[in-house]
Amino acid sequence: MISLTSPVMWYFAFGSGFFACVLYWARVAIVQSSGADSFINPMRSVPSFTVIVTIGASGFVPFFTIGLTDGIAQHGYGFAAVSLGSLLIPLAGVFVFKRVWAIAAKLGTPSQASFMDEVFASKSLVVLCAVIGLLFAVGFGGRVMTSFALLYSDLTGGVFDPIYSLFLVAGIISVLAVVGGMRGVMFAGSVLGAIGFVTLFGLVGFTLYLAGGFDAMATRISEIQAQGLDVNRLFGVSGIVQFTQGAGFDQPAGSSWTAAMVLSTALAFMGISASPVMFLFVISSRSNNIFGSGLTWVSAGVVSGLIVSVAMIIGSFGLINGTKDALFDVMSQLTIMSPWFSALLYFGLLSLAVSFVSGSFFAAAQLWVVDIYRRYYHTGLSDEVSVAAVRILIVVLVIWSVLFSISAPVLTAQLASLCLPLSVQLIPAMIASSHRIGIARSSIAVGALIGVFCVFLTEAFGIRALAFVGLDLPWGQWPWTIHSAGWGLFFNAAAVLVISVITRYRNQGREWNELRHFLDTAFAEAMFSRRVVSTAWSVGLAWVFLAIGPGLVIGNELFVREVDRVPENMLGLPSIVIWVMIGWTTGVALNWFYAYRMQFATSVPTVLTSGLPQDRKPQANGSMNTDRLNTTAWILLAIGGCVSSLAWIFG
Amino acid sequence: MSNEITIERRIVVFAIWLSIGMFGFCLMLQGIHLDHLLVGLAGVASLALTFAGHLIANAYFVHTFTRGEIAFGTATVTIWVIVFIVSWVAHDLSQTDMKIALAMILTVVGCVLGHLVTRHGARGAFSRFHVQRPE
Repeated sequence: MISLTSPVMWYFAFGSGFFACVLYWARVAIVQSSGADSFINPMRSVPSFTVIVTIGASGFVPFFTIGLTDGIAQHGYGFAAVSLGSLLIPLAGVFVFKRVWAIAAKLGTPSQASFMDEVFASKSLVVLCAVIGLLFAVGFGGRVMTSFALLYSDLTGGVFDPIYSLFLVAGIISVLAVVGGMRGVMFAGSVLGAIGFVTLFGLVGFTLYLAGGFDAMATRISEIQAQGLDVNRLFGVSGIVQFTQGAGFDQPAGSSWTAAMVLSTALAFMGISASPVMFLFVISSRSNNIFGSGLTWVSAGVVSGLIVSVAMIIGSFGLINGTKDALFDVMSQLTIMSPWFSALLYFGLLSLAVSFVSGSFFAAAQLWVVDIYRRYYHTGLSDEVSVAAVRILIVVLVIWSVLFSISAPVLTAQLASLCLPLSVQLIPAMIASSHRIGIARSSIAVGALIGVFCVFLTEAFGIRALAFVGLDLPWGQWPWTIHSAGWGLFFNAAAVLVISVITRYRNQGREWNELRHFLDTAFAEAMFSRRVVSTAWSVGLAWVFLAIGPGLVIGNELFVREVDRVPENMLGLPSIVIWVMIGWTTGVALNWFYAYRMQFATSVPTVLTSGLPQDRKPQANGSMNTDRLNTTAWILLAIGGCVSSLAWIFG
Repeated sequence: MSNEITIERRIVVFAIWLSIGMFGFCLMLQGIHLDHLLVGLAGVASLALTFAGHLIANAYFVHTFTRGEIAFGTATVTIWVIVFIVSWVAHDLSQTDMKIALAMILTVVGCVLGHLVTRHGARGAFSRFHVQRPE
């Protein structure tokens, strides 16, 4: 007989309800749709508040993937500063979302790849977007699904096998994308996002209960700090930068979490805002009047606050108890005490990830079918066939991701860790497309490719791939304690600036000039005084420097005083924790300042028309371009042959 | 347009009930499990708060409860009452459990009556319970 306190029963019950909810909203989306075109082109089709909730919920996903709470339990509070990267996600959005929405509506670009193609006339950016979309789906999605599947299996006491759990999670995610499309993802995402936010509150509350209250936790942390063991590693950042050769070569002194590492890792999180799926979320909004309030108060205020709180509280709990898997420890204790709450919190956490992962699969399938295959190989493909192809490709990608996760989990993790640093290389493109700055159109693609190359050279996957063909690099992952996103952005920005300076007197092309004219009329610059503009620059740079940059070193000891030559925390908590909390508060204020005061995210009253450009619509007499398909196949075979030959000779 | 507003309202109602409502339900279960009256009553209060949120959503979108929502709510309360009666008859309920269950039922009745009175007035609320014959 099944006991009412059995976790299996409650997980099954809540899981069934979760699946029913997902199915319901997928069905609502498909019933509400107006045809095949609306499935593959979700532009301006969902209520704005659903977009904001979904965007907010998506901000949690990368922090769950990197194991933020477990990282703090293992590496200390220097790692906790990375949680401030949750403020950079909405900050990037404040600068670009409103404008990208308007430009996409004007140009009729239903995907990030088509947007890049229309704005920059660059096929390489199209391919880059498609590859990033694929990585997010197969790598990142696989990693997230695996994490939740393992957690599900462990919390149910192994009753559900991890592989079975993985198929279960993958099934729910694929059904949402296949049946409902992007609209279904957004509808479900807004409902599930609300559940997720409440879940995070519950998780923090329960962890404090387990720890005996906030005061007891703070006292215990102070005792550990007073013991003097590993103080430098656990209670601060290990300097500004350490010039090590990277993982596998030499270990940094203390901890690898230097200020440079925190800054470059935090910058990587902006890759969420530049990802293909986030582009779809943004353009799906019916209006642009939600971005200011939503990004400032929901994403930066509520979601970022919850992420920082979860990181600090659960991470501290793990640190106190000496557990490496802090989140699992909390959840397993909750399962013993209250299996219904455990099931609720598990599915609440899953709720935060479902819309982003499901949307990633949809975005990847849409990019490859509509922007690659239909555009370049089969212009006559009708909308109905395109929809069927997208649905089939979603299922194929999900199965591919699941099989990869089962058979090559290390490779899947390495692919997942490539996603954010690659995606963040598109940030200069997003900024250049939406702001009137003196950047050459042709420099963006070159800069992005250079950035991607640098990421490849400094990430584990790239280093391993090059070793496979016999090229052993003299450095490991993240040399000089700088994340690959930092390396990529540095050389990306340098290339863009150099090329822009060299080509600044050249005509950028008719389309580029038309876009500039559109920006001039739709977003007429507000007349700010020089004082306000310089203040805007100063506060932004100061925040980056102090909150997530070299200024973190100041936070190591600013709130420590000596009493009888014994260091003591002035405010009862480690100094770096106080510094991070101040960084969060000022970061929210910074978001408000740029969104409202500088009017980067305030609404635009311009009436816009939308519609696919003529060359993107199915051509009546278009047939499959077999010649081009043959050429592509031969090129891919040639690349594969070269790689195999190199691996055979030198590997 | 009305279809879009209906969907927006449905999203808000779903979000309210699945977040705060489920949290309240689990709190109530925890109170029954631990034999802790305050925890159980906190759960009941959360459910009442959820109902109030539903009323606010109805007012904002200028909509009333749909037939499906009324049917679902009625079925849920009926199941709850049946479970309560069976547990009571089987002598399985402690005093605290009984208080929590009764508080839940009374809160439901109070919420429903309160909604009817505020919406239709006292006389109108009474009229909702009998069929009006055409004159």
